[in-house]
Order: sequence, then C-alpha cells, then structure tokens
Amino acid sequence: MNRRTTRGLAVASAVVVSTTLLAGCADELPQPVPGEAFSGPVLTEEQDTQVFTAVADTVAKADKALKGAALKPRVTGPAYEVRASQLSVAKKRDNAEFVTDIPSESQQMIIPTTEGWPRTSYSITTSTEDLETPRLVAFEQASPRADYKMWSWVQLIPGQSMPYFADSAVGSAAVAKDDDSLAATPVDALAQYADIVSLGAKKSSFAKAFKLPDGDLTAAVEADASVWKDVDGFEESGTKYTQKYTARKDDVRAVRTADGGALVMGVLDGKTTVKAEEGAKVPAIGESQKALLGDADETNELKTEYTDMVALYVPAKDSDEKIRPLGFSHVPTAASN
Amino acid sequence: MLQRILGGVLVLIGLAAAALGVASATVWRDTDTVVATAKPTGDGTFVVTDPGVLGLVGGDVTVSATVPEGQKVTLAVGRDVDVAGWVGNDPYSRVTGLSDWENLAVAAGEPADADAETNEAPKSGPDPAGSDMWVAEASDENSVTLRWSDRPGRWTLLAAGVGEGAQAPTLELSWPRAVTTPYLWPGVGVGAVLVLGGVLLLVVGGRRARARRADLAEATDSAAPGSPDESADHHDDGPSGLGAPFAPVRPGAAEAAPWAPASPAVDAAHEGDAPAAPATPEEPAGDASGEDGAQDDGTARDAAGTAEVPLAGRLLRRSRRRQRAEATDVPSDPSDAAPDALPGSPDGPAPTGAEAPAPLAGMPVPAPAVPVPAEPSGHEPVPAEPTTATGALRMTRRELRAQEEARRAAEQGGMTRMLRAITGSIPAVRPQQTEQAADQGAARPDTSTPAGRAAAWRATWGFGDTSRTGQAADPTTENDGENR
Repeated sequence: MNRRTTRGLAVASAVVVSTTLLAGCADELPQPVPGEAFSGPVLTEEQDTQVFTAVADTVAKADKALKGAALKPRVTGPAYEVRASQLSVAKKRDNAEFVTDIPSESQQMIIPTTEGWPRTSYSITTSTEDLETPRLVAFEQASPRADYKMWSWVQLIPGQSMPYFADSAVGSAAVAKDDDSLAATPVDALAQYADIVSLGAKKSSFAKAFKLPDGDLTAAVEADASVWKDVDGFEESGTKYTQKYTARKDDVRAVRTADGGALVMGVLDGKTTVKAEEGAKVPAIGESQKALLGDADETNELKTEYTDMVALYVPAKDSDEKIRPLGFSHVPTAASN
Repeated sequence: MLQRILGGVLVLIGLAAAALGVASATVWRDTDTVVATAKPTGDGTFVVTDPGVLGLVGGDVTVSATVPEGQKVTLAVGRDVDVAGWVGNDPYSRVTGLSDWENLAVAAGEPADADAETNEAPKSGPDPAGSDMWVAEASDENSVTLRWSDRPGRWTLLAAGVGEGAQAPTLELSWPRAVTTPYLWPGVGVGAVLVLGGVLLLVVGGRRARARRADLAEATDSAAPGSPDESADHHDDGPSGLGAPFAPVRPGAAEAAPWAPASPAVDAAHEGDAPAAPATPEEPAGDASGEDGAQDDGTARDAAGTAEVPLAGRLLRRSRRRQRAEATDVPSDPSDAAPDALPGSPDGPAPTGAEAPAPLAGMPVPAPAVPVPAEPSGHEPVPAEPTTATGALRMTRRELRAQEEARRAAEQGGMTRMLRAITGSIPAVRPQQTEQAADQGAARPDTSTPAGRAAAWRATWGFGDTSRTGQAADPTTENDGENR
C-alpha cells in the first residue's frame, strides 16, 4: 500500500463521513401543495340539511310567537313578505290556519356550484302532514358573511313532474336571469306567465308557449275573479272587476336542470280591484282580506294585493317541450278600499 | 507503519460514524410531532392559511389559536373561496407554509377583490362562527383547539380574534408524524466496516512488518547456498516465471519461462529439469500444476501469514524433485519429439505427441484439465518402477476432487487468503494432503481398471504392497472395485 492509495483512502473516508453528517442535517421543509380547486357544490348535503333545519327552526319559532320580525335571521325576500303578512293576519285573527305549512324535511336538494355571491340552493320538501303537495323552497346566501335564508317557497302543482337535477354531490349551476340558452330567458318567462295570469289563457298571446296544467296560478286567479263575477246581478249592477299581474324583474332565481333547461323562481305582484257603483258597499270576501282590511269601513271599492311566488320549468332553446308552471303560492298581502 | 496509522484512523472514523448513527436515532431523533407557530403580522383580526398548509406535514393536524386574556377566538375550516369571500377586503395575515420546522411563514394577505383597497381594520373583530359554509369550527375564550383531518380539496383555516379591540390570534399547528431513523443502520454499518477495515490494516501491517524482518533474516540465510528454487519462491525474484504466466510460447523457444500455468515457473527455476522433466508423464500434469500453483501463490504472497504452507510446500517439492530426478534417469521418455512441446500441458504426454506441439504451443492452457485418456495399449505399467505410466492417467474421483480443491485454493483472492491466514478457519496446510494423494497416484499403478483402483484403495489405507498386488486379476478385488 503506497502513499497514494493511503491518501485516496483517507479522502474517500472523509467524503463518506462528511456526506453522512451533512445529509443528517438537511431535512427538507415540506411545501404546501394546494389540492385540486373545488368545482362541486358549495354546500355538502349535510350542510344543506343544517341550513334547512336552521331555517325551519326559526320559522317555527316565529310561527309560534306569530311575530314576523322573528323571521328576519333566516327568512328574506318575497318569502319574508308573504310569511310576515300571513303571520300578521294570523295574529289578527288569532288563527294560524292560513299560514303555509312548510315541512322541515327535505326529499331532494339542489345545491349550486356558484363560487361568488349570492348563492341559491333549493330543496323539495316532503309532503305536509295534511298530505298537501310538497313545497319547493329556495335558500339564498346574499353575501359571504350572511347566512342562508329562505327566499321563496311554492306549493307544487299536483300531478306535475319535476325536471331532473344534477345530484347534490355534483351540484347544479346557477342560471343568469337573462340567460338566452333557454326557450325564454327567466325574466321573460316570468313576464309571459304574468301576462297569461292577468289575461287568462285564452286571451294571452303567450299561452301557446306554455303548457298550463289544471290547478295552476291562472286557475286560482280565475277562481278569485269568478267569486265576484258569478254573483247574481254582477254585470247588471255595473260592477267592474280588474286584475293585473306583473313579474318582478329583480326577484328572479334560476338553476340549471339536468336536461339543459332551468327551474325559474320568481314573484308576480297581483292587484285586483272591485269597483261597484257609487254608494255601494263591497265587502271583503275572504278571511285574509278581512283581516288585512282591518277596521276600515266598507266602500264601493276593494283593492287587494297579492304577492305570488311562482316556479316555472323553462326548457332549453332547442327543446320540444313547453314552459310549464311547477308551483305557486297565491297569498293576499294587502287590502285597501 | 503507515498502514498502522491508517488503520488507527479508520478505526476512529468507524467508531465516530457508528456513534453518529446511534446518536441520529437517539439524541438527535426528531420529535414525534411537528409543532409550528405563526405570529400574525400587521393589521387585522384574521389569520388565514393557504390551501395545503393544513396538510403540510401530515393528514391530521391539531390547530390551536390563542388570543390575549379575556378575548374570544374562533377557528373555522372552509373551502378556500368561502374563506376568502368571508374575509373579503379586510386585512388579514396569511400563513404560506413553514419557514423552518418550528415556525410558519406569515405574510400580509391581499384583498379578495384584486382591484379593491384593503379596508381599514374593523374596530370590532367579526366572528366567523356559525356560518353555514364551514365544515369545522370551534370557538372559545382565550384559546381554542380544532382537529382537522385533511381531505381532498383546497381547505383553508380561518382564525379570528373576536370582539372589541380583538387581535389576530397566534396559531399553532401540530402534526403527528412517523419518525424514521434512516441514519442509524447505515451509520453503524459503515462504522463497523471502517472499524473492521482499520483493524485488518493494523493486523496486516503488524504481520507484514514482522514478516519483513523475518524475510530479511531468511534472505541472508538462503543467499549462501544459492539454491535456484529458493529464489523462485520470492516472488519479486521470479519475474520471468510469474510475470506473464499466460504469455504464448514462441515457437522454438526452449526457454521454460513464459509457458502456460504458473506452476511450471517453479520447475523452470531449476534449470536441470527444465526441458525434459515436465514432459515426463510421471504424474498427472494437472495435479502437479494445481498444487504447485497453490503452493507457489501461498509462498509468494504471504510469506509472513502462512509460514507453514511454504515450508510444507518446499518439503514436498523437494521430495517430488527427487522423484523427478529419478524419472529423468529412466530412459523411457516418450516425448523426446519436439523441444517446444507443451511441458505443463496435460496433452503433452499424449503418445501422439508429434502433432501436438506447434498449434498448441501458442495456446495458454490453464492449470488443471482432465487428462486425455491414454491409449489402452500404451499404459501397461511396470510394477517395479514408480514412474511407469507412459500415457495420461485416468484419475479417480478423489483425485479429481483434490485437484479441484487445490485449484480453488490457488484461485482464491488475496483477501480471502489473508482472512484465512488470520483466522485459520481453513487449515493452511490442506493442499499438502492433495500433494500426498497425488504423489501416491503418481506412484500407483493404473487406476483405470477396477483392480487398479482397488490397489489404490489398499495403498491409501495401508494394506499390503500395492505395486505387486495391484495387477492381480482377483475376481473379488474386481467386485470390490465395482461396488465402490
């Protein structure tokens, strides 16, 4: 073993030892690896159930106290208007029979994939205890720090089949109110429906685009009118009955269905006027109207305002299907004379 | 001397490496949990982690947040967009990762809306608790702890100091982790190897030094008689013999030096035998070369370590040389044909020697090879003489095995040899037995017939005079031979 080999060995061993030591010191810091971006629903089914439960609890408390203000934390928009009105009527009458029953259990959730705000999720409830048809309820989160609140509800029209929606684990996309991939934009569809409700299916020019089932809002409004018109001597007495329904342009929410169409929820403001001869007295007909009218004296005029929440199915543009109403809630919210 | 110093250094380094390896698994072993803290920077009452920070070290993380006495703190985990939306344009601290194993890297957060200016820090810290968007949340006074198991997606943590005059909480994330000790066994292993190597060097160095002293003494002794074979044992002295063992023989070169295996080099050393002796068929050439090779290597390489081997070898060689000397006296040398016949080759003694030389001369022939069976006619041994066989002998199995062992011994590398010499695990004198067997074989009559083998057996165990009885065509002996 000569000197060179010796030196080589020494160098080699020094390298081995120092490498081992250095390797022991340098333990690399892990770097955060962001997972895949979320593309699914904004709420899990569990979270949505919690939302529903929280809303139902709040509504139940308000119902019990018959206090509209108690709804505030979890009810908003047209749902709040209608519910508060119903509660005030119930309080005046001391009877809650006209307060819409909203089951607190959901049978189907339609959860949005919206990344921004507002976000709207939908739920179809179970049937009520009185075996009324299920309700379709919309919940809205207006801003990130806000809670989901009940924005609208409708009672489904018997015999109407709901369109299919994406699974709640996949999430459904929200549809803009001026979305033009549909047979009619959500806003237009609501306006056309309001026209049909106002004029009746026979007179409205939009009726051809709709497939109106029995027992939808048009029928309900006709029934209201016939209460007056069918009274003996209605025409002879010169009494006039007018009704006007208009769709609100801002209170429109829509969500995509599985077949590319959309579920559209909106609000129609209805106004009916009964005007009899001078000096005649027009009584309020329903209990709700009576309660809303209050102690005011009867005159020859009766104005009633309705806040009607409606739900429509609007098919995709190239679809053979027609727009059809899915449900509505027809509730008088004001009366005057 | 140098070897001993190097050996000592290697031992020290080895011990140090082993100690470091052990230390890496004990005193320097990482803790079972990684705990990293984040101190908020700047304004705001929120601390938000980047996506991926919660699962930075392990899937399960325990988050705890503390705020000064008397304040409330809330922890919430949500989707990154939800948290970003909730924080909005308020100022916040952003945890971007680990800055070292004990601290989290914190930066000032940017507003969610890129165009918007960061708001003034709110006077009262808003409480994220109770939002429908969180998948996990906890809220308490002073400090709060939240456990989170990472799941797919960009989950982020929002920690908020709540209430009047709130401050952003101090975050502490702790992950359990599986601690490995990757340097324990490598360290100990490398250390052990180094120590062994060092010890080896020390021992060898010591031995060599002793051997050198002994060699010096021996050299002065042997120089006087001038015995040629003694000088052949020193391997520095025999460059012609060992320098190029496989160098081809130049045709016509009668010099014995470069021919085939190592063995003849020894023979070559004594000039007297050179041309004739190797060609004589007195003994199986393979045997001779194998043993000689083994002994020669043994003597040459570790004169110090295996003192017995060269001694025995030398003795044996002398005895064989005596035999050879007798053999050369016998006039029945069949291969007087060409002087350049391969003397060490097993083919050499073949009776058809005339055609062998020229083409074979150039071929390096490795030491042992099965000898070509002789012509049946040409191997009639004469009992009286020990060197009667004229053709190649057919070896018995025992002889073949012994030959193989000898060859292996000859082939074994220096390290094994050295180890053997040190540990003595295998008797260093073993080849001697082979030598004896070979010698006997050489002296023995023909073993190609069962009777001959029986005779050999008797010779081995010392029954009677083999040279006389070996030829007796005794049927019983023949049967014995068959049964073996």
